[in-house]
Amino acid sequence: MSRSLKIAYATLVYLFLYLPLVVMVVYSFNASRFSMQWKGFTLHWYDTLIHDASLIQAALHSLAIAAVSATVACFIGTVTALAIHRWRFVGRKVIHAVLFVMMMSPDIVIGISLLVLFMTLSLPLGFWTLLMAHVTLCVPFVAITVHGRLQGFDPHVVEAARDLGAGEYEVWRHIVLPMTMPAVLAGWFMSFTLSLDDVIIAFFTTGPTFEVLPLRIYSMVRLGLKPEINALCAAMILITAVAVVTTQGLLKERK
Amino acid sequence: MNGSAPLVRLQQVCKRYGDQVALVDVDLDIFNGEFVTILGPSGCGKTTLLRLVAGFEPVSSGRIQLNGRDVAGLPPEKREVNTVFQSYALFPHMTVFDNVAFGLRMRGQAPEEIQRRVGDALSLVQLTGFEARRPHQLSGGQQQRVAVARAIVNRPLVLLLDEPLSALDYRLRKQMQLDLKHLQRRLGITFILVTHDQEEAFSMSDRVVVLNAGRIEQAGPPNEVYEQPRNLYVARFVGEINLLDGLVDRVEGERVVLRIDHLNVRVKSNRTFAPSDRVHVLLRPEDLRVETLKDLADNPALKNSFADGGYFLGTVQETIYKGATYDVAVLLDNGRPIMATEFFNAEDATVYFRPGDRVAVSWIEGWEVLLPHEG
Repeated sequence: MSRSLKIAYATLVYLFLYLPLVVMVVYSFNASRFSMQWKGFTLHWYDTLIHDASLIQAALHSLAIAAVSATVACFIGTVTALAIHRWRFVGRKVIHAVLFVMMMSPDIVIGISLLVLFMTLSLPLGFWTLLMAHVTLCVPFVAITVHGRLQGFDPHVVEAARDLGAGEYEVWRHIVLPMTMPAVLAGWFMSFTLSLDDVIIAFFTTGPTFEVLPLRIYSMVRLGLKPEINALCAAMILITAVAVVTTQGLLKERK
Repeated sequence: MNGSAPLVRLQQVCKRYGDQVALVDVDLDIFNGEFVTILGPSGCGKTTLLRLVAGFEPVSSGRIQLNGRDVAGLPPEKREVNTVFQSYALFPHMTVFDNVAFGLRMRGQAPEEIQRRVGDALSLVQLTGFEARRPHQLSGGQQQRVAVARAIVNRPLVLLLDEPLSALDYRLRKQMQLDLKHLQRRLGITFILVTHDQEEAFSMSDRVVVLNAGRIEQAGPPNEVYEQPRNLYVARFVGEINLLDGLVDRVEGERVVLRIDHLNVRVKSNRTFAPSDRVHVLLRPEDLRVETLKDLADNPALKNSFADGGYFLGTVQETIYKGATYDVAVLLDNGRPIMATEFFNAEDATVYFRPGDRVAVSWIEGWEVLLPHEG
């Protein structure tokens, strides 16, 4: 009795979370152009999608920004995490706190504040401004993920390596880096997804010269829902899902 | 052994963390091939002592010499000393082989040499065949042995062991105590072990150093520390102890006549006392003799052999069964509680004493230890 209740409850929760996505994915295969009525299965919308040059252009922009900003954020975030883990310097706690504040800040605040900054510096909005914005968005996530893993280490491991003859460089190379790598990679995938999905910050920090996919979708939707959009979103869900699963796998490994 | 120069020499070593004092004026010489145990309660500074020798932390003042060389400013990777950590601190992302080979690789040894020496080290700790495992695939005892192999493979001058057995269960700990001792004898490497377990210290080491609140209370062979504790702290820390307070009546050469309550007791001491000094008489539970008043009355021969210097009267409070022995808790008529250890008779394997029994308590003459009264 209580078991079937539990199953029913869980089903409701999952329905609530994923039903919209399922509906969208299903309609991406719907042969009907305008109505919400089911007119049979088709791959037509996916076909239009890959032949839409400007859409592909936006998708490539998005992937490029996601990959580059994830890589840069990983570098900065990892160094930050290592620094606040390894050394006790003035301002260490402030940096740690600021990371959390940045992670929790509404995207719209980050977007507008960066816009103000870029305008003050008279930077033309485009690839570089968006890249900086997304690096800013992602650094805290990487830093906190990597720092969490470092905290989980036996602190004597580094001492053991020193004791066995490893200098500062060898300790980084053979101990700290390999042990943090799963968290760094997880941070990369997390950043990649964050950047790929971001609409709000991109809205403020990129210009007409550099259009990214989420913004493109946003402008397309303003003219009405089209089946191509369903297909496009379904493809993005797939990429996101792969990234999330990979992240989880990396973080779980060797725990 | 004592004729040669010490391998490790600590001179006036102090360590402070801010206002907190961890070690005060520690002087200690450790000789080549010795197995020395630093014994003390948690927080007494014993781990700090190891960390100073290993080079993880600098001394606040004083000097540490290794093999005749002052090691101030020398980082851990440049000291010919290796450590076995309490948590083992194995590298989780490396196999057993790579863990053990780490030190040799850092020193740029040739691959064939590494192969051979890692093989030797693993066979010494009986882990041949485990080369490809990761630390998390091993039991606690096996991890401990990897940690030992990882350290001894480098043939250090000194091996430092920081409570290496504390995470193991009782039986395994006993076994590892023996294994470590045999390993030390076989390799001839100087071992400095830190522990809070006096039994472990006594059963493994050539010399025990009792540390308390950052100071060395006593250093010496296990039997000396146990039988001739230098003060009450050491006496209490290394085993159960019974205390009687006395007053020196007179000194007769090597012997001292004490007045304890109504009794005049003649005891031996290698310390010098003057009449009317207040003293503690220390008695281990196994040195005490207890007989019931009834038996003494019934058996004159027993009474004659029991104690010619007199005895204390008391009442049995309870008996505590220990397996091979049992403890008898006696409340003396002077109000002092006493604990005596009794062995089971060959013909009678039952606890002889009953709560409420009136008993006489004495001790085997010459086994007592006399200390000056400590406030």
